[in-house]
Amino acid sequence: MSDSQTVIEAEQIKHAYTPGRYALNGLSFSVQRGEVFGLLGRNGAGKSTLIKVMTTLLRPSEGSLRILGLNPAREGRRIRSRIGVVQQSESFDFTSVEGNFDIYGVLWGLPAEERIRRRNDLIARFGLEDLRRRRSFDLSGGQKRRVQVAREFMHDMEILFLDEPTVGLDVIMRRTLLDSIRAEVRRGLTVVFTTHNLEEADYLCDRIAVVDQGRLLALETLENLKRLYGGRKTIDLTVSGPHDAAFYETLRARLGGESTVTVSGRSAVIMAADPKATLAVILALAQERGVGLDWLNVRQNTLEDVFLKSVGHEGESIGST
Amino acid sequence: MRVQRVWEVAQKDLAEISTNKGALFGVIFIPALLTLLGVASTYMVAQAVAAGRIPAAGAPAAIYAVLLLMLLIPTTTSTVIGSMSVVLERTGRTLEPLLATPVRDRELLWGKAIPPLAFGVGGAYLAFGVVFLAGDIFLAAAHLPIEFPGWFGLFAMLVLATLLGLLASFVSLLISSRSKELRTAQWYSFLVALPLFGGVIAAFAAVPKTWLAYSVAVGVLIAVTAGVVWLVTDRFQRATILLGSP
Repeated sequence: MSDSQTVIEAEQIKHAYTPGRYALNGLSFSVQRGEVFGLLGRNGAGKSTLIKVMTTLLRPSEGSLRILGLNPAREGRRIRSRIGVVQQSESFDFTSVEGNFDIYGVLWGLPAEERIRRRNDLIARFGLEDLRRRRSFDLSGGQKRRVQVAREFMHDMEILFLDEPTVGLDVIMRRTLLDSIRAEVRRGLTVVFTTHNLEEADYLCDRIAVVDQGRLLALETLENLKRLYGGRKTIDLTVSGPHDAAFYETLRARLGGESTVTVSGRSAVIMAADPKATLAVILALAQERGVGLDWLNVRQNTLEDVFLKSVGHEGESIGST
Repeated sequence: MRVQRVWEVAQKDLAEISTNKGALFGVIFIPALLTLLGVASTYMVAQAVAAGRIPAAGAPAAIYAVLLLMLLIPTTTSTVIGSMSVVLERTGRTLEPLLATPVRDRELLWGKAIPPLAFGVGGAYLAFGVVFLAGDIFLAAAHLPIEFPGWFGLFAMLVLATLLGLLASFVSLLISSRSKELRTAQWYSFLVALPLFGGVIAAFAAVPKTWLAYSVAVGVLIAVTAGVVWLVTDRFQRATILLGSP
């Protein structure tokens, strides 16, 4: 049952572009009002398809979905008038930057005066003054992205969907954009956004869903996701010597199921339940096998570690949904 | 339906057509070729009558046949542009931001129908203007006592061009919205539009050339066109448009 605080409710959502091959495979989750909900996943994980389904562009093949308490299949237009969507694809690049804002104002039915007021405000806020008369087509990728995001704020909305909004943005603009989104969230906006960038997710999200092969592998608050590993620490390790592969095999066997070892070439990321004991095992084994330790670092878990752990175990869900 | 929204959608398409070589072929080449054909045909008819190769009484029928053939302009131009309208945007992924706005399906459809309609019907109006003018000049120059189909003929052609343009635009838009690729969209659109053109031409060639007979025939064609527009509007499915499948 939907309450006014729940703005998105998805129950066993599936979507197949071709029969039998699911881009979304039984996703269930809910998003609360005022929340920043991050969708994290590799390329082709299903993030963009999920955004398209939630923004009424695609109908789910199976499952039930309610956006703002409305059914997308029957009340798509009512939903679209209450949400904003920033997609990866470009559009309206035939006109000027200013023209882009005007088009959005017209599409959302803003009166002319209000349209001009909002346009000028957003152009100033997003640092587009110098570009306002330039044709969108002639802008750089990052500049286009800024226009795409900024023009979405021409209208009022309850949920903003952002599909990798910071791709192509420089560091300063990325931070400006994320801060703008944060400011809107403080005013009550709900944000759903997809990203590859784990720092961004860390900076912005209240809860994060890790998606892989159309399935939800994890859905937790950021803190809980990190805590799921029970205060584990991460050990970064790089070894040298002729027997590095055998070294890691033996290390994995000696550490047992308590720690996870993700090996990439001569390096490994080890999530250790007991860092001291793990370090002792590493040092002893290195001496025993005559393997050199080029790099050894112990640190707190990051979101990246959690993400790697999640997508590294296909089909095995962590956390609760 | 808000006219301003329809116009924004149309502007977007007009801008994309102006940069597409395939669309420019439909917009420029087809009308230019058929106009040339119309002018040359009226010239040849005038010369043939003057040389006595065909009787003067047969000239209006020959000219009328040329004019009917020129109705290929709204049919083909509207089909070429209409069939690429949705499918090109889908493959270019420029349609998604528009679909995510509160634009209504009707506004989207009419906005997308304006460019094929404008180029098809506009091109036809221009072509008929040129051919009517050329016909008058050629017949007068040959001192022939034949009137080029006057205001009645011009009016009949403009009405027919408008209706054929509407039919071709809406049918090809529907096919474009349900096709995965441009070639398929164009192929199926022509497969529907050309027999439609043939049927209309055959029917109007047989209609007696009186105001009453024409009014009835045009009335029937208006009803058919309205039915097709209604059907296309009803079958236009926004939720499947990104997939390009029925």
